[in-house]
Amino acid sequence: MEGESRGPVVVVPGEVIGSGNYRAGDNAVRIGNSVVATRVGIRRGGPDAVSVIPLKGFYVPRVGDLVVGIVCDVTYNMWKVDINSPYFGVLPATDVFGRRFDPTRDDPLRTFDIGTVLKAKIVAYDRSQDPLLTIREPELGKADFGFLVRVNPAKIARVIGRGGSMLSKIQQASNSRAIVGQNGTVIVTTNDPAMRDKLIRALRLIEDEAHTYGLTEKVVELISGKVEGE
Amino acid sequence: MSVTKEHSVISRILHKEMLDLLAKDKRIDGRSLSEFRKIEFETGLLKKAEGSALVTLGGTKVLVGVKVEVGTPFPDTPDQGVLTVNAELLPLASPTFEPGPPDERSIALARYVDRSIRESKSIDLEALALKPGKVVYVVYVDVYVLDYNGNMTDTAVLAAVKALENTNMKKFNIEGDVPVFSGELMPLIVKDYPVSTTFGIVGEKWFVDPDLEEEQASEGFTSFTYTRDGNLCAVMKNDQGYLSPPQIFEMLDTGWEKAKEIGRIMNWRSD
Amino acid sequence: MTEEKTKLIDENGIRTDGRKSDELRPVSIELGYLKHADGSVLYEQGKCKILVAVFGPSEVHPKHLELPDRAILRVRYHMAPFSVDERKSPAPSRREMELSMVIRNALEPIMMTELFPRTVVEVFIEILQADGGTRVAGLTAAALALADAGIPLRGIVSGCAVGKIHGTMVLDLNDTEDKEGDADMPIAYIPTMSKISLLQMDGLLTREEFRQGISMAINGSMKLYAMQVAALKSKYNLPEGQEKEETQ
Repeated sequence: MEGESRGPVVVVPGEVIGSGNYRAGDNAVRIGNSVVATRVGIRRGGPDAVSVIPLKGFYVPRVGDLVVGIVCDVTYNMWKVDINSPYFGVLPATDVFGRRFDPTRDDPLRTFDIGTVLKAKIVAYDRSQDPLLTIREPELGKADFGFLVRVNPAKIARVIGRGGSMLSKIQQASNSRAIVGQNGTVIVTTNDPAMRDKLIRALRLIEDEAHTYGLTEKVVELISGKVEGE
Repeated sequence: MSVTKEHSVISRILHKEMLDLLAKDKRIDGRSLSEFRKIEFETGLLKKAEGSALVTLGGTKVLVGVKVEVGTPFPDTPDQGVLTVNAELLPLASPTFEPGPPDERSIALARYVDRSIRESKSIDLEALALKPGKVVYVVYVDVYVLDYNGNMTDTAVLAAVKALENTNMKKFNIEGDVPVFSGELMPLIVKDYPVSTTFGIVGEKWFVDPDLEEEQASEGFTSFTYTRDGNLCAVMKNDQGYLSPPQIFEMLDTGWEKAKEIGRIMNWRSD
Repeated sequence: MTEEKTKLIDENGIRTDGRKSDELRPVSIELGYLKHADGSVLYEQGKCKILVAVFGPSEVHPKHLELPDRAILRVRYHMAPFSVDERKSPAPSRREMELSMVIRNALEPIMMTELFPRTVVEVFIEILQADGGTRVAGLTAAALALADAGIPLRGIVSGCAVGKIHGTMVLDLNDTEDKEGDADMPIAYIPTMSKISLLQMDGLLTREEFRQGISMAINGSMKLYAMQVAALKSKYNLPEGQEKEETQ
């Protein structure tokens, strides 16, 4: 469109980002004949919908998402898992034992103690109940190694990158493995203590500059670059 | 701390019926948008109170008792008597009222009644100072909501002013710094008769004196208190919902017309 | 005590703090002031100093208070004991209870609470220094803190109080003008919807003065809104020409 600015447009809640036939996408809502932003962020226009990439947002569970959670409670039939969301995840006993807890045989805390880190998938979630988790697929289950980094869930897509490009570059450059939960929790495994700090800084850099150009290069440089004074 | 409460469940059919009717400027009970329910009042029914009044508006009943005692003034208003308004939403008045200390609704009601009386200078607080700085009359206005069927705000303001009008208090003389009962009674001097008009709001529509069902379906309420001369002494938007400025100005004018009508019914004016 | 009242506005229409009748006090906004809160702001307007923190959405405790179809909102408006001339008891007063409710009623409709049912959002408005107009300044600050927390909002609300001193309607009352003036009218406005979400009046005004007050307050709110927007956008801190728009 003639005269339209080529830079991204930062919008605030209530600001009009589209009108007429545009559908309201993520972080946007239709009010009357306009579509307005509901969070502070960058306007993203598509062919038929307009949405906002938020500066900050909390994780809302979605069926099929891989999440990294921490066991925080056990009740008679399930483990309660903190998935960094307003809603706690529920891992039922049946998913792990194939049956309900049997107090004569089982000690659920021995299987997964409070504080255990789990890689899980969301199998069910609707507005009337907490998200249901499973660890029955390969690659899921208890995480024994690595350290956890909490990243703003709104920025997770950038951590993964298009087709996983950012994530594989990070893993390559740092010789480490990273498991990225859609809920904003990342498990990184590395043998090098100095690399641990670099990786944390790299993730923070992605959080702060998710919307900028040339981010991938900056991240790789941070990881593989020399430490000051060397 | 103010916390969201669950709203009473109003049947969808009733709500829809209300909206359809409002679009045609009509209401469920057949009233027009600017029509109040029937107002009745009774005074002097509480023998142990210095003043009392019971006002019934439609199905809402509010009883106000006035007690007058002598006491000390507030430090920042040493030459004025004291006015204290309290409101109780009695559990017997509604399934939504629970026993316990005053909640935010009863506090907001009491404070609104207080402002209506105080800012209109309905009672002359300076005339209630027996010995400025030391001894003053203390006027307690206790608002008792007995039966809640919508619009307790207007009912409470009416009952409070009527009760004050009805108040006969012990006359005290000052000997030194000590108040001594003179043996006589005297009427409490009432100089203005503020009337409040409350509107329910749904979208762009407003309607006066919401009844219980209309309150449950309304998005918000606005109350205006008018002095006898038509000035405003208190305004309060209650509950949620939005107002547009043109809506506010329409309500402002309609409210004044209603305040005059109600003032006539209460025998406070004859114009 | 018959002291001569302070002359609140002089022959040239200048108020005790040098402002004209329709002038706002200077405002400063610092977003993200508290690191552990989900959203926060340190907001100053004239001599008012207000700290707002937002937490949530999170699980509701006790659980029976949760609502099945939307989030609940908890708002606490509280004045610190040292915020006023004469020390105020820290226990919540009736005024603070009413104001907490009035502010909640002005904030809740702009929040998209239906998007996160069975949770609670908590808004704590702590008045550290009070100098008139704290309920609307607290509300203006709370809207900033909610946006800072990433709570989905339909719009942003801004508020200011108008009053009447020596017969003149004035915008953004300070404490002296509130106490010694003839009226205090706090109003909150949502500029993107052209709607008022908070309206109170205390004092004596003609109906015409009330109308003027509404217009004056709306103009004041629009100016505050521009400041809120600028503060929220500046947190992005985009360096010139370095932006990349997500096309995925």
